[in-house]
Amino acid sequence: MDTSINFAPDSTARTHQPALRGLVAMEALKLRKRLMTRIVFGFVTIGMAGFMSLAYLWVRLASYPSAAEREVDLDALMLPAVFTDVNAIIGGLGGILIAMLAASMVGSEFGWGTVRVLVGSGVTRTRLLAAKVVALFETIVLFVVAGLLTGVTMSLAFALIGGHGVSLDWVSGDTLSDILMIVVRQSFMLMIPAIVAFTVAVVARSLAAGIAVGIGLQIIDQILSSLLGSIGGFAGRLQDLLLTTNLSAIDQYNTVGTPQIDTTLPDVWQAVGLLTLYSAVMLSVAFAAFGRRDIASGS
Amino acid sequence: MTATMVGMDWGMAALGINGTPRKQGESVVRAEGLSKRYGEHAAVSNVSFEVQRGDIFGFLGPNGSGKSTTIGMMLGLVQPSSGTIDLFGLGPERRAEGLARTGAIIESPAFYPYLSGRDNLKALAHLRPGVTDARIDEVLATVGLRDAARKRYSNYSLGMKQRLGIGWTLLHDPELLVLDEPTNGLDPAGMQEVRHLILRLAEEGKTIFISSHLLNEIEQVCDQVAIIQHGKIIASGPVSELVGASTRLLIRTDAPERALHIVRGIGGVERAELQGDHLTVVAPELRPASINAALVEGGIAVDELRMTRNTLEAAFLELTTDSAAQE
Repeated sequence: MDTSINFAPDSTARTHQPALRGLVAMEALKLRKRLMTRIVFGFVTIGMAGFMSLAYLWVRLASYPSAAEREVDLDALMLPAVFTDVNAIIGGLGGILIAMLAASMVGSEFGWGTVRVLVGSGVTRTRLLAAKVVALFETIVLFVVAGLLTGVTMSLAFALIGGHGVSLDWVSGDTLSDILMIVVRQSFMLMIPAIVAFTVAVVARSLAAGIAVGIGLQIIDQILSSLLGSIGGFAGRLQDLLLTTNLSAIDQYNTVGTPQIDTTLPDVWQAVGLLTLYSAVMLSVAFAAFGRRDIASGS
Repeated sequence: MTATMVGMDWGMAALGINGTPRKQGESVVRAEGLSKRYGEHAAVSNVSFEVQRGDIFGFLGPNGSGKSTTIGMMLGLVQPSSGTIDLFGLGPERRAEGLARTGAIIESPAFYPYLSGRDNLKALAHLRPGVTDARIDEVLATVGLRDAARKRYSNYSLGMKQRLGIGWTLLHDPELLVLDEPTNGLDPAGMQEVRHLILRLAEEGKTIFISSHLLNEIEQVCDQVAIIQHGKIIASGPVSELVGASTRLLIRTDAPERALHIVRGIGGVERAELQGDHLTVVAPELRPASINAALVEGGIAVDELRMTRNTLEAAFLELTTDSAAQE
């Protein structure tokens, strides 16, 4: 019998942890092939196309007091103004969809028992979770880019169909920088519900808990923000600590051109700092819980 | 390869196994005073055992005896309350290094249901630096899943899932294999193939740690066993010693009840029971001839007296029953 060696893993590799980029690639492969990811990206592309089509039909078919007013609304669907609405749709859909995806990245590992395979492989738990977080962030960026590209494509289609013509006069270094910053800001904003869902799924070892809290917290936070805002005074200052308020403080900059700033909202850097702090605390909890907990039978 | 091997190719050339020289006396797994408590409940209590390089070590115990918890501690899934369990002589702080040299199926095989068998291995191969796509295909062929490689894992039969699990453990050519119920769900031919694989891997110098409730399987492949019950090791050692320790005599007479009375009076008889029309006697220190002589002297005509070949299953049941009775 031929017992020649035809497989000899790198002996140095045996004693070292796999590179983080390899683990991120593993997470990316799992995400890419997953139905939930396809649904999420389907929603942001088909949903975006659907919303924008409805908006366009509404503007075209609804009766306006004057043609000038119709033109104002039509302009909002044309480049570069359309970025504001496209960004709003991405944020609206993404808050829920990304929370679901983030919870599933961890919760399903517990549900399927694959967490035993991952941890039992000897790769450190910190590294495994870090790879998931990185893959999640990459997915969020792709989600935002997919939404923006769909929005831009739809806007171009409306321009051609409506005979508005396509002008690239607005394209400049500043506007491209604005678009890039929309991607950065929106990705950062979607990270917040994602990290909440992710952390809860890790701590509770449950997909359902991650989704429920990830989405539920956004709803409760918005209700609470409205209530505190209407009370004012000290309650108003508490409102500045909520997610909704701080996300709005960042989101108002998500436009191409000069943004209209609401001075009642917290300073943007203060909002970024506070949300970064919240994220860091939640991720610390997730890493601590995943790092120390026993992965017993059935988990 | 024989025709009965239903598509699995356990040949070493196909496996590409690196022969690791067997170093007698080198500890691959060593547990010392290992305990795990969940509140007041002691899942594992002061467990110690050692698996040496090249051993095929059977880890036996009834359901809920602490097998999975012990394996969990070995694989870094469960934190011991006290004691240590080292792999390759490396302490807990270097467990990751030890696990990189280990392939394990923990409890039942667990993979991503929406991925194909091949994609599962492709994804998990990122955990094992150096594993190539060619190696993945090779392992799939080895475990007889080449034709089902593109089929979704959720559509696999239990036996196919088990094979994929074994494929996963072999992917990076580990020195230690930890197999929890490796033949679960396999048909008799598949079970035989796994048995052959285990023996061949051991011949190549692999160390194999098997947990199973199929005692016949364990007896056929393992050279060392440890039996755990209620979280404690109640017996351990070479299979031949455990089985031999409780070798018994079967005695058939026309007056079994009188014979039982006589036999129980013989010094050195550990146990004598009436089972139907015959007696079973455990008397490891006595020669069968001396028991025969005592019966004849007592006026009993012995129709049959023979040593029965004990099985690991019988030894296991005896040991676990004794242990339970003592508690």
